[in-house]
Amino acid sequence: MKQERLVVIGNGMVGQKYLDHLVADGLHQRYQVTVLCAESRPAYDRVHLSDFFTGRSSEDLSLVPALFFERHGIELRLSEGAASIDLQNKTIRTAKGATLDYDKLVLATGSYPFVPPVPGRGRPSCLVYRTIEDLEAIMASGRDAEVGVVIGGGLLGLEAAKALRDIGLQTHVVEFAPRLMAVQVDDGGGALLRRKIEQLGVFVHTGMNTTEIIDGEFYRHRLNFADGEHLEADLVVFSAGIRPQDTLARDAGLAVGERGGIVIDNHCRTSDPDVYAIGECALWGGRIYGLVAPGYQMASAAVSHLRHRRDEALAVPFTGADMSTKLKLMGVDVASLGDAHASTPGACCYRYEDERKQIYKKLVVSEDGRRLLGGVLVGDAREYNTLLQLMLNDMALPETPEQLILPAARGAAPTLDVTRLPDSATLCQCQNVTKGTLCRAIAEGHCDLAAIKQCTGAATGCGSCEPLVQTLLDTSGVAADALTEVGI
Amino acid sequence: MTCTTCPYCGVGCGVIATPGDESAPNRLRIEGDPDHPANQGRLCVKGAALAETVGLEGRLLQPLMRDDDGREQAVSWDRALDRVATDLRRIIDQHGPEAVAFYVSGQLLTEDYYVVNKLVKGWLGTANIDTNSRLCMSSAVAGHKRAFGEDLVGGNYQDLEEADLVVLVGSNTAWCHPIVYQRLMQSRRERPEKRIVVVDPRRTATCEQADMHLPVKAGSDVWLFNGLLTYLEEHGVVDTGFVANHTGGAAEALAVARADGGRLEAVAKACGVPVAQLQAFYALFARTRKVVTVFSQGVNQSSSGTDKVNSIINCHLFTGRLGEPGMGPFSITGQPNAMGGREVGGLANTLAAHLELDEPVHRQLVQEFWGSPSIAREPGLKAVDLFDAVHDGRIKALWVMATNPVVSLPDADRVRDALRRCELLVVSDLFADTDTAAEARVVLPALGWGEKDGTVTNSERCLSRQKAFLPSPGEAKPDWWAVSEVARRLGFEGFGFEQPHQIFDEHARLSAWRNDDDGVRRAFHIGGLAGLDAEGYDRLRPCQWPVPQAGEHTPRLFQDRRFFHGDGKARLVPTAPRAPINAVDDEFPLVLNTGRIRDQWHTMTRTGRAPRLASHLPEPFVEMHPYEAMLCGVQDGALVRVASRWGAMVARLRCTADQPRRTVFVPIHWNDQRASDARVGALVNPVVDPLSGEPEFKHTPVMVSPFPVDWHGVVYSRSPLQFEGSEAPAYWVCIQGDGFLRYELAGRGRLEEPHHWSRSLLGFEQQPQWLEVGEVSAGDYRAAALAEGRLLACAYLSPRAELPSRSWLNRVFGKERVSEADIVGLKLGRSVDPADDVGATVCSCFSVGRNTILDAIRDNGLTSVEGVGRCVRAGTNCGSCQPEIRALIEEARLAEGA
Repeated sequence: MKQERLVVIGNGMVGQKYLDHLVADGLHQRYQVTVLCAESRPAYDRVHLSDFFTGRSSEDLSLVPALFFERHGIELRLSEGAASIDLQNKTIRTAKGATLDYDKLVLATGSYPFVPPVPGRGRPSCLVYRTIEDLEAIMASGRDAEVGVVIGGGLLGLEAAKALRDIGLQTHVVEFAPRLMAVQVDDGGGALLRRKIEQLGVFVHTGMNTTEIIDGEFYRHRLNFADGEHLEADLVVFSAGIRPQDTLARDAGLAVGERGGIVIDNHCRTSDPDVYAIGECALWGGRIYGLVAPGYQMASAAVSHLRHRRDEALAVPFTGADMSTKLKLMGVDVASLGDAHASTPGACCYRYEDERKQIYKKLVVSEDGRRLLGGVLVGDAREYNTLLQLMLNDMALPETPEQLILPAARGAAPTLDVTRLPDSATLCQCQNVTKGTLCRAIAEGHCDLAAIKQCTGAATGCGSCEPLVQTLLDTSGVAADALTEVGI
Repeated sequence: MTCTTCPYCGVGCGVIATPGDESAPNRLRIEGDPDHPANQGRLCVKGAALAETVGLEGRLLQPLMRDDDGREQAVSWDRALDRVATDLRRIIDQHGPEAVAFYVSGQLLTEDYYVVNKLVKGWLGTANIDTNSRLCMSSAVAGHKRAFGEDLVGGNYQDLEEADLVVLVGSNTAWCHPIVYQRLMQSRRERPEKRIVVVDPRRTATCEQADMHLPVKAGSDVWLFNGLLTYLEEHGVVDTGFVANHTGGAAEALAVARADGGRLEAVAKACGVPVAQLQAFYALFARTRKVVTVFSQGVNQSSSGTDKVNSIINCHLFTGRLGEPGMGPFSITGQPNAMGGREVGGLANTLAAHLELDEPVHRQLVQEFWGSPSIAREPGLKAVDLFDAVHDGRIKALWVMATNPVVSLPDADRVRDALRRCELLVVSDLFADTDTAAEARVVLPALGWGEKDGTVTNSERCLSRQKAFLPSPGEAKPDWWAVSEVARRLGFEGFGFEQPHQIFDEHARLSAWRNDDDGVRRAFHIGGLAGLDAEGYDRLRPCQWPVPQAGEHTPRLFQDRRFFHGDGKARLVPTAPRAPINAVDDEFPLVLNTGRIRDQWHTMTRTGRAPRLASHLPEPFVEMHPYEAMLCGVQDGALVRVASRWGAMVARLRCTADQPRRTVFVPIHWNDQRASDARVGALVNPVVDPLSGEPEFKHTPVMVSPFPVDWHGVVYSRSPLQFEGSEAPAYWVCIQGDGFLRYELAGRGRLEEPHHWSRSLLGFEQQPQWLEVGEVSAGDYRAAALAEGRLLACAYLSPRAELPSRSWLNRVFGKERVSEADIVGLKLGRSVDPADDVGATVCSCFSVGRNTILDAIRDNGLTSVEGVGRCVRAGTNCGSCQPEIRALIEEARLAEGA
């Protein structure tokens, strides 16, 4: 029988994760796999992109083990994206004019930075922050620049600001909303975040609507704002959000959302059953997931479906993902959980703020005070994992939920009782590792953190679950000892 | 016990020195003097380590003469002084008095300074005497004179405490004037609403605790303060009555300021700071009446230094903010007696006692008082010009006292060349082997701190005694004595001084001499201190001049709103901004900035001998922004070559984002005795301020490139090593340890026989216990020499820069007897006990290492500097390491979170 052809368009973080799962399941031997990658290098870690400015090379950032493609017989075509898809004939035309047949197609085309339609956005040294090529352009432009400005004060915007500061520019952030990271944090958290970011030498301008970019009098550009103010800079980086890269799909006639995104079902199938879409290009349940963890879950679901294509019921579906996130922006801890803005009807909030230590914490709980709906942590996010597990597993809150965010008067703060967590609880969001999986690994004799990491992949992404995994290790050790003691 | 003062910076702290008793005669105890107004008992690490610098090792104890071939001969004082007098006489007779020059120092006591100035200006009849104060304070002097009619610092340290806003301009106070910084920080703890603004291109340790750091471009200060003056005017922040009645020149100054400072955006661009930040600073200054603007070398060491000073003073005059507690411009000096030198007129363009060379009435007044045969009529040559004149032969005789121009002057290789051409070079110093003394024909043994006796004046006009409490070693003599002896040999009257109080008395009387409206009224008046006998002089307590009558001293000037121009008014001076003289270009694209580090002083001839002071930053370094380093193709921790049009040097690269892009920072301290090639003076452009003659130390275009080496090494030895000719490594630094010397080395080419090389270098050809581990494959070589269980030397050489922990080796070397574990460690090249490594020194006072502090923070969950202090003592003495401890707390916090 002729081997079926599988084509993956896109080799970003999610595209590579798809290949990893494919190889892990041995499916690469069943299919003749071809990967089209518009960029000149295979998948790299976009989450830690700004480390590029502090000396990490593109090799350091690579997510592809040496000889991965050669060893597994996967054809990788670098600098060769797809130009069009013919769903009827199941063919793809590449950007270099080649034609590829496929039996199964996976779209992992990711997203592109949204550049608001500001007149002057196409001027030289007005850049975006997405790929290593973008970073190289920023560095080249930054060589002779003195002042840099990032348009957009969201997560990526602050990452871009860090990059500009790392290359020694006087750095500004211009945000349309009245606060930084408007999606993830509330006013209180945003205000503290702003203070901390400004202390790090980045100048923040919120509530600013950029109307045009023209020649500067003192620096290369002048940004004019709707309120009549202006700001001059040599280098402009747009970081005003992302848009799904869905042009290929749209042109091919696949169903796309009203505001973009390739519509997928729970198995990540598009409107054409032989075509999957995963990651930031995909629209599931009417939303785009702009984080890497949900993308990884989609990759896993798509592979699972391919494997069980003859018996769909066995496939592990993608059923949505939590958008909670914890990160370190220029050394400042920021975490956002669930319903951070308390938009659930009846939701109540607890807030704790220490201006001297510069810490802001907020809990959002259900009307009856029994369930955690969300939260915001700025300046210190050590409670993140506890809160996340309480929320995801819908666990009952203590009588006085405020204890969860108040500094402990004496001794250690109350921590999560891991033994109470269900086996299905996902402890590592990045690699989608459950408590059950971890416990099995421990039972199999993986008895230290390094071994657990190696075995399950847990704590190898953002690393925020590491304390939790450690606790699990510690308590299971105790449990095992206890069993030995009573002679079982 | 003896109450004296510290010989380092211009803070002028009181010190109590208690020499050891009979059981331990060498154990000198040093404490801060609780009754001294400057420090009230505190001492910084340099002061606290004074006892480590008074040893006689390496001291010059007898006059030396060298012949044309460099042959050295110890001679009697008589012979040396005869030689000096004879040669001076001959040169003056042949070439006139302008062929003779003196280059002295802010390290001299006022009495030494007075006598040498009197000889030169009154008897030799030239003004060719300049001082290293030219390199640090002369722009402030010139600015003060233009503004106030006299070189006057009106305020005092207490004003910094009482101010609601302190603006520190071009001053890394935390490192360079630690005690003033501590007082400032203490006052802020007491009044948290107090604001501190730092204006400095670098993000220094001083910025850590500041409310605002304005990282202005090098040389842009005048733009900044012209902008401020304009802002003040536009916002009506002006003391109209004061400006009208007590100042002149406001309209002219404003007109000039407006030309460049009229638009905030233009000022922001010139200074390289955001408009919003500039605005915030101006608004803060405008609304705060009690403001002190402290300025130091970052302002003075510039080709527009004098204008920078006046642009600052203008803002204070315009708002009438001076002469009252908590306000005024405040120049903080570098040296212990920079101000004393200015009082006696030790600069080439001043006469004596704050009287001027170019005023006939002043000249007449001084000549009359001295009864001198002549009086200098023209200003003499200022430092940079003076050494130029030595170079081209106009000056044939030069006497250098207590300073090291081969290290400290700009274009320092040319200075050395000049000294080699000089017919008669006399150097008075503690050591015969300073880079400068090494070139001298006659080297005269001077007295050091603890041996000499006289007075100094600090930055707040506070005159204090510096006293002898140690015997004069060998034949060392006071400088005033040597000068008087030469004067006597030249047949001059008026130099019959036998004791320092006699000189001080004459100086005090001159300050009072016709100091009234009929004569020449000047603020500098210490007539109240005239007539002290030896005992009264010894009992003299610190006091701030003017002291017109005994017991009457003056904490603050200008309270009466009288100034010292002819009309009794102050002047606002128009200051048109000028860029630094040499701009960067494609070949030399970076700006070199120079300055001090925390634990060293000047050219290290003294502090380099204190093990405690060598531990914080042991090697010469270049600081650079990491991205700039990437663009230059150089790596953090590697050796680099820094070159300008004038010279080059080699040092280790330290990448830090605290250093702005397109600039590098290099410390001023290292000399040729301590390092192979690290004199930054050789690179500095010899351009000066047209009025003050102060060199532009803060702005020289340079390039940075890799300095490739093939091997790295560290060698410990109990005695100094001699590197000779082709055997000398390409790079070496000598670091003082406690009972040993440590050499950091790097070399080019393959070390063919490391065994022979290190044995002969260390002089252990026949050493019985010579542990040796050569790992030929990796190219590593390790060896150690022991005698009776004590380490004598060790050598670690490797093609890689990974060498044993120095803090560990330091401790093994400190042991009287090494353990078996140590011997295993020595063979392995690392301690067998990882806890043994305390890390690089952070707190020099208590020798607390980085790792010790980090462990304490982690183990005890410490979150404050105070907590660290309670736990491991670090930071509890002088406090100058507190910013670093704070950074370590942050580092531990981040590491925990990650």
